[in-house]
Amino acid sequence: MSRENMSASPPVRGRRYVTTRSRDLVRAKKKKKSYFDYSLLFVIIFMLAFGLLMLYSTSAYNAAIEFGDSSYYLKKQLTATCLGIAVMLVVSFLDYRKFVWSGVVIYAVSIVALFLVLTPLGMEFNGARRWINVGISIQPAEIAKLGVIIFLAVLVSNNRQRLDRVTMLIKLFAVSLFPAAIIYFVTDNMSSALIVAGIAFIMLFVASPKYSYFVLAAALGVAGIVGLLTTGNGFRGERFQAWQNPEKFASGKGFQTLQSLYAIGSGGLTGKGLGQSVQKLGYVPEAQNDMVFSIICEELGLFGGIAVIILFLIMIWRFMVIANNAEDLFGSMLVIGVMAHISIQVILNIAVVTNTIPNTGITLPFISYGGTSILFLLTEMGMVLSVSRQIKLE
Amino acid sequence: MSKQRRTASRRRKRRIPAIFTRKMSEKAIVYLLAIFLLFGFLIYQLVNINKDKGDEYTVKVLAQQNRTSTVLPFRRGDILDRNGVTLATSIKVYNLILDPKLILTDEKYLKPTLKALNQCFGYDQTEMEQLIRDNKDRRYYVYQKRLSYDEIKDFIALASDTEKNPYVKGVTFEDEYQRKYPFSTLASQVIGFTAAGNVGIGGLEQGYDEYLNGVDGREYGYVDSDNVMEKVTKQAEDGDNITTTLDFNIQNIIEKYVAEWKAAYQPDNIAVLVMNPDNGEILAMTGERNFDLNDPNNWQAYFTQEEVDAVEINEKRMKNLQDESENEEELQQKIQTEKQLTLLNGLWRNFCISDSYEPGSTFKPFTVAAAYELGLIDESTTFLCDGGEQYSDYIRCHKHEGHGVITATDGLAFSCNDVMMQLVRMEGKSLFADYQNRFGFGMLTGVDLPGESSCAGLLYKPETMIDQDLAISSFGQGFNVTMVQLASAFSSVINGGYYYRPHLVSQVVKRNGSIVETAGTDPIKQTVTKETCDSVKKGLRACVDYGTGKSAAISGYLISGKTGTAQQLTEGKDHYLLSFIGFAPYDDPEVVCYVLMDNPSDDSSKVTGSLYATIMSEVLPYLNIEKDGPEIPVETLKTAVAGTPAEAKLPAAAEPQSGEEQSQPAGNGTTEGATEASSEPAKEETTAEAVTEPPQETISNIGMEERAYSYIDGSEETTTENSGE
Repeated sequence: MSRENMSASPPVRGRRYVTTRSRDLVRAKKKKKSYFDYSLLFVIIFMLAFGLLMLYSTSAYNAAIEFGDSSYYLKKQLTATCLGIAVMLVVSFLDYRKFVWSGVVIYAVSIVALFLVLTPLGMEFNGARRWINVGISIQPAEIAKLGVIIFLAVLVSNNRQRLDRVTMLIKLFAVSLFPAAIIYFVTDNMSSALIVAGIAFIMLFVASPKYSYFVLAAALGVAGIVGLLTTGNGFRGERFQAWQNPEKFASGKGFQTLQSLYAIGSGGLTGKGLGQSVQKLGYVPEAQNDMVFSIICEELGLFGGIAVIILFLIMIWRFMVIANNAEDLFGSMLVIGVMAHISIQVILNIAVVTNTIPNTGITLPFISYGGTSILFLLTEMGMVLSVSRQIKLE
Repeated sequence: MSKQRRTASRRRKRRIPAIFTRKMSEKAIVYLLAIFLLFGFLIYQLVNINKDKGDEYTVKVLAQQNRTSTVLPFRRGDILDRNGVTLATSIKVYNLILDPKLILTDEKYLKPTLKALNQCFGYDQTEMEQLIRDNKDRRYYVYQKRLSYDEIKDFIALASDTEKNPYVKGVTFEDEYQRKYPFSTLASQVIGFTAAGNVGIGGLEQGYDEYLNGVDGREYGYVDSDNVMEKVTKQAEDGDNITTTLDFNIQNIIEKYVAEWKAAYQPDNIAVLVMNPDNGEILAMTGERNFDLNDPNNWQAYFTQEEVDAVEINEKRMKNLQDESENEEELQQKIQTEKQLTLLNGLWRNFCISDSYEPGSTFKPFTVAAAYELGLIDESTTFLCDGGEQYSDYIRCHKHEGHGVITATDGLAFSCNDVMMQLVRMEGKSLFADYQNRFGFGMLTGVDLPGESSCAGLLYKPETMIDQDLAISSFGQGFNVTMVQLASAFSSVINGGYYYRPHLVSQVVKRNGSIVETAGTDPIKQTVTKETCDSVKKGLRACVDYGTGKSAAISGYLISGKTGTAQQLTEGKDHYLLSFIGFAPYDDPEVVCYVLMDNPSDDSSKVTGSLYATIMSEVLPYLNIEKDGPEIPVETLKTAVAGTPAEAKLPAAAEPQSGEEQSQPAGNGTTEGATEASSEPAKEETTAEAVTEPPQETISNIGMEERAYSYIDGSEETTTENSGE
């Protein structure tokens, strides 16, 4: 709170209100109006609109065939998005500092929800048991991401004095490893586990003054993942081979990747035009999910694909600005967590689509189909906006 | 205490405030830079995919598209005989397509569908279920090909009864056409067959491929602005039917007797060509053996493994095969296939148009016609046949003691070589060559079948031929012809001099009945005048009446024609190529029939004469041709013919020459200009596919082999004649 005192409001302006309102009230009002990251809000809204547009374009054919309603996926996503926007606005108006307790709560809820997947509440889809049905279907891994971000932000803030110690870092990292392990072993979802661990890793990297530990850990982590992929038999082993040579596995594991590459390659510089993709017509399986970026490249070309990447960069840049100016460490770490979450997911998704890394199911934030994902993403955005709202201009 | 306080205060000094420190900011920027780098790399990847594989992937995407739209196959046109009998047709067949994904969308579909399939097609249910589950993600699985409508109609009825069987799903039928030949082996070399994808191979199927084939239709779907799958259908364009000049009945007749004669005399080759001299329409043609057009590649049905092994592959081809194959096993496999194919190619080959041989005495009418046409002789001009003429060698007439003083008419009747030699001496080399040319020898006749031989390289050229070449050419030696060349030329000599292009297709007709093309009915040239024709015809009539061709006589018709016997020396043993070409009726010829047998077990020309007579005695009444000749008692015919296969087995009939050449006592086994040498170039041609021009040097071969001809009375010491040079 010492920083608060340091901030000086313009004296001239203050005087104009002095006669009618108390000093505190004026300051409170000023504080409230001090800052709001409209740039970020604009990017979010633009991304949502663009996401819905692309979602409709990619999913209409599949929806028409599967459900006889070409806007089936659009409607579901739109519902989740509306709900998500409401949540985002509400959260952005709340003072995040009053919700420190929510970290441990959401974290605990997500752990419980992950285990619920094993109960009859669990739902299987496409051969993977990753959802629970509580009126609406929810993917607990998404809750876990949010839980880890908030809980770790709290812990980092509380333990900031000892972040240079390796034991403390390991302890804090273990907080994320726990849900990550559950996600990996219980729901067999390696990509989500990786993202959860990745978020924690980035948050700790930014918070800790050390470099060496992280470089070492990163090297070990990459080696571990590569080892897991190459030695793993069956599902992952084949995926790895399909990554190295998708043409050879064109009818099996390489099919999706290869079709995605076809889509990107056939798009050219400016694409075939919005809605003109042919690869979405049953070739790229479930084009509205993980592979949506390839359809963007096919319809809007390299131009469109790069524009999307730049949009994400702008978003990440805004996170950077907010994190740097946040009122407290807790707020900063929240934003860094969200930034880590989105950047990791975008990079991994595009890397999969371009066959830079082996195929693993990672959605593209804001654009891929997924109700839980969009809801929690918008909750995170609400948090970031809330943090931005507390910033006072100096 | 103070120490404690000091440490505490020191700690407080080091205390990190609860804000985003400068260090954290720095590290966040490091992370941001990492993100920038990774994004940059991903953009680089995107650009690379477009740059390196863009074109390839664009093509792949388009290729995939084609697979989804359904091809509606066209129907290949039918081949009909002149009376509308279907010789080749395409029938619709159905491929059974499964949609496992659809069937598995709901468990209630599976059982009824399996049951229905079992009920209608007898497919094993558990096997089918396994197959459907193994292919659960596929939407298109060709389960069985080429079912007939009868086979699928039960299922269609069952599946369309949606009230009773609402859950039979995911089974569709796709149209396809299958080529069928109702008479399987009939006129197989003439009709030809089709390979996969409606590619005609050989015969009319190849020659008229572009008419018979249509254009595939296509049914494709696209998503319209309301995201509704729209189906657009472009109907297939069916191929045109062709009406041939072939007569199913005549073809049957000749094939029946060819088979009989083949069984009786075991010739190396036998062929018959029947055509209409008034317009060049080929009514029937057949070679030694037919093959099953519905199963043309089944070599086992015609050849033994030993025959396959005996085929030799030339070195160049062998080297190609070695280069193509990766290992020994593959090479052996390729060699086997190559050998089988070589044999099959021979089988598929149409002898009548593709193979050439020395015509022998059947050429004599042209020598005589040229002499009449040039005004060198008339019907009263006489010649002295003293048994031969002296050139570089002494060239003999088959009757060594000579025919005496005879006219050209009798020269034809008795097939006198001496008369012919005197005629060409009067004509001279260039006029003789000119007339050969005029009659179409050494040129393509333009028959509408693929693989015709022109024999252009197998004729003497006027500037290089020597007198002896001219002399032997006069009676059909020293050069090659094809059956269709000789029959077409012969037609012009008997029909008043009009040369018609021989052809097999009279009309190309669209499926809706409109005529696309009609064969021209005008003659393409005039070879000789009507007067010449009449004079030559007298000689041809005399040949059957009292000359060498008596065996060809038929009761009730004035049969006229010319025999031909050629001696051949292949691998040291001689054999004869016998032939007969004749026509009827006499005044206005309507049918020309040309029969040919190579190396029959009985080498008298009565075997071909009798084959001709037997065929014509069925063909003429069938064509309703009015009788124009006297009835000949059966007894007389028998002594004259004595050549039907049944009689041939009788000891009395077995004696050679008994029915022929009465003027010449038995002695020299050869009747007329017996010849050799053509076997060499002819062999050369059997391996070729299309129109083949054997190498020029074969001409000199002919010259070199001449010593072996029995009509050349050369001594042992006679040096090789370089007559071809």
